[in-house]
Amino acid sequence: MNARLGWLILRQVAIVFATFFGLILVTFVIGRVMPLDPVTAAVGPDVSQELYDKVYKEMGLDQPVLVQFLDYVGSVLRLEFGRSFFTNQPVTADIARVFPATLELAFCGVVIGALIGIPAGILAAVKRGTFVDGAVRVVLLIGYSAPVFWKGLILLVVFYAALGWAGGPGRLSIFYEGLVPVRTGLLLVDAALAGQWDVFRDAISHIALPAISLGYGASAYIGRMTRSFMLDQLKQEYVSVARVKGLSERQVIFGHVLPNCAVQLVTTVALTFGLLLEGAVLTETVFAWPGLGQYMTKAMFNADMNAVLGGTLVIGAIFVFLNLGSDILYRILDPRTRA
Amino acid sequence: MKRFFATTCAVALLGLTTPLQAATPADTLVIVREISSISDWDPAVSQILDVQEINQDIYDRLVGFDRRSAEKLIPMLAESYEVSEDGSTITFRMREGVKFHSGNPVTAADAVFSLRRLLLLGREPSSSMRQLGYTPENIDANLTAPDEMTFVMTLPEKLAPSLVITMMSSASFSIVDSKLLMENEKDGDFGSAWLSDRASGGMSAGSGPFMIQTYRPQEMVMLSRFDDYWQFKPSMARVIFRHVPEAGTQRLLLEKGDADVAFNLTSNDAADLDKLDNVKVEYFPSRKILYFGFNVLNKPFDNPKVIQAMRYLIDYQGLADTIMKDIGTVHQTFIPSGWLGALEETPFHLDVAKAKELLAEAGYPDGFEFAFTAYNRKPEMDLATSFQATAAEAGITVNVVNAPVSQTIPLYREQKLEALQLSYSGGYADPHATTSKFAYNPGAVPGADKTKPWPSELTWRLGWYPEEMSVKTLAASKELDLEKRKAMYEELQREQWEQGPFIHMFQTTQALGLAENVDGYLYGSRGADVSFAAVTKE
Repeated sequence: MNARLGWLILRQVAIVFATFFGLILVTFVIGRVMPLDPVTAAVGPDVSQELYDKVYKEMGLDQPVLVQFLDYVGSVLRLEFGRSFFTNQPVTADIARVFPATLELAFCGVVIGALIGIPAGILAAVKRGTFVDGAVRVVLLIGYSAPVFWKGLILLVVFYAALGWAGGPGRLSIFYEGLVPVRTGLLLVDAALAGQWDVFRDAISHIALPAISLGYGASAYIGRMTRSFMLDQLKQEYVSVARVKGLSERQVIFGHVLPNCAVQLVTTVALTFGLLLEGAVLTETVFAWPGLGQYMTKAMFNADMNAVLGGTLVIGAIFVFLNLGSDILYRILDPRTRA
Repeated sequence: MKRFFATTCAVALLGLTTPLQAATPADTLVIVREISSISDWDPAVSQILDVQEINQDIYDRLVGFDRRSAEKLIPMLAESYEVSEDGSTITFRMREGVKFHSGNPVTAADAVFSLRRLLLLGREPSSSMRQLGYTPENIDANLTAPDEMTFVMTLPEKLAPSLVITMMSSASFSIVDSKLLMENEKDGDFGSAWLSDRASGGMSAGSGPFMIQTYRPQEMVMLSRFDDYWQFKPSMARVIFRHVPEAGTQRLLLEKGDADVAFNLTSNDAADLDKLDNVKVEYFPSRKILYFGFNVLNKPFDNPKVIQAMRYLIDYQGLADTIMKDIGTVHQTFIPSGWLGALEETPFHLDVAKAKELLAEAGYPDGFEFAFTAYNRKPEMDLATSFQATAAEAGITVNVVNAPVSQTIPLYREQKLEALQLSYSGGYADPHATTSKFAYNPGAVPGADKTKPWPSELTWRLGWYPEEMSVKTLAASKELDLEKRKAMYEELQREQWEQGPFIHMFQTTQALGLAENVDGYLYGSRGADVSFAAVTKE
């Protein structure tokens, strides 16, 4: 048993390493084959040829490709992604600054998504084929198919501009800028730790709209998946047995069916979280949210390869770990995988 | 735990239902702008427009515009200056009692240090120093400070004093705090890494009316008033630039009173905002010129008649009324309106029949096909699409390639683009700033090595060697008589219309959305006449 567990752990670790190596290789190749000029990105288009050549050498671009690759692997292992040309800060410092903003938003988004999506999915499955099922599907479909950009602006126009219920774009109102010391970078957590409840309230009012915008979109996916997982389970014999035993419908759904869907739901929610971390570019743009999505998009437009590669590796690493995490949860929740 | 959860929920609910404070504080100016291009605050390094415009109020130059009413160039950190009769030496008398943000006095030594540093760092802004004829070898002999308050500039190249003085008003010529920077110097970098890298910090190396208090890349820049500013005390204690990339969001913030100035409005937003009571929109001509370029190393553009035909295949007026409405005006030469010698005539208009005639004369009666590279953003993409449609009427197939500048420039530098669409903003408000880019090729002057590459020159990038015009451009930059100088530039613009591979189309307009109570925002087309220092909020 122990040998088998050891083997399993070893296999997982090997998979993680192989994935990382692949990620590094792919990002390196992309950095080299893209028709972008990193020197121009760094020093601008109108410099003398001498300066251009000097920077070209400083960047190591005159070295053989293999040497460049080994240098790259070495710096990635040291967690050094170099300097971003367009912020002029080390990429690691940039990511440490922008990532918490995205993490906070994606977390709130996925919580809202799950809170709406899972109950809606259960309801749709239980009332399959009825008006309720149809209504749930329509409402979720709107969330899924309406462009994020449009949804964001509508939320802003209604709840910020017209009603004044929510805060506007950005993470905080300007009056509260700089009041809370940065500890985790997660503004809600930092404000709570500092006991600054005014700032906390302001931060909540600012995160509400982008989180709802993201969460509504995510709820569509989570809801549809929940519905289909539930329907799969409802067809199983154990459900009939439970009903024959005289259990109430509530006990059947929440006591038997839902726990059996939990395994797949964990994976769905985890991957949705991963997608929100990397895919919130438009939401971040509309709400002027200084997060990873905006950072990466700008880096790509500026041919800032250090920032693009650093960001890609971070997102890749998050996916690897989310997968790993959901695999582990899978094993904990599903006794069959432990056999 | 339950209690904590309940409290959190209650606080959250309260946050969502209580109307939030609107209107910005009376002594704070909040500007929403797309500022993600800011990377480097060093005026001798950054050529980015956003940085130059903000630095305009952090640094002062020897000469500049009065921030309260920018009529003409006046001495600023210099109290006065004197040009020698032959124009070869300019002597600046420094203003007494002026201090940098650090408290260090501004002296002639700082002026020498700043200009020397600008050249020796060798970054993009240093091209102005090279144009003045300075090299690392001759710089020390030609910039001197005979005493603490006198700065003498000897010009290695004989140039028109008006050109030199205008050039010195540009952001690159900002006077920096030599003592502070040398305290932070590393590996002979004149403190550049320190100045560029400071993500926040109370002091800047300038002496202007504002200093950087906090900077968070791609998020915000907070400036605070420098109370010892020598000229006047700004009424704003703080100026905050907030990075808001989306135009619609900027508009909402302005409407709601959470911002005082919105910078990147679309023409539709500007027109709508103008109708509101609490907001006004002001339009300012900027110095940015949008142009098309055709590579004369390639057929059929080696034939000047083909380029002439192209001039008649652009729907200038149609575009001005639609895509460029409120964001640009038709301007067909390389010297922006408002500058010395700028021609205001617009001799070209859409005329497909005339274009066909010219194409037939050039030997292309049935048209041809070519790749046209355009910047992948608006309005540039739309201009390219419109040109594609009008050119098709003359049988020409234009294959539009939309690409970011980072992809376009390397190909442009290597003369590999067939045709392109780009923009150019002259670095200082003298006609030489743009004439030296659009009518002059250093490889074309007599005696120059024609095989030498000049990848920084726009003319060389399109393979154009205008010998006579290059000689004339140099002569115009040296002409001491202002009227004669003006006439020379007018002539050069007309010649470019006849022979050049560039088609200039529009001068862009900056629409600023302002809260009704905001006055005094200066936004001129001469580069150095941009400032928020004199803003008041009634």
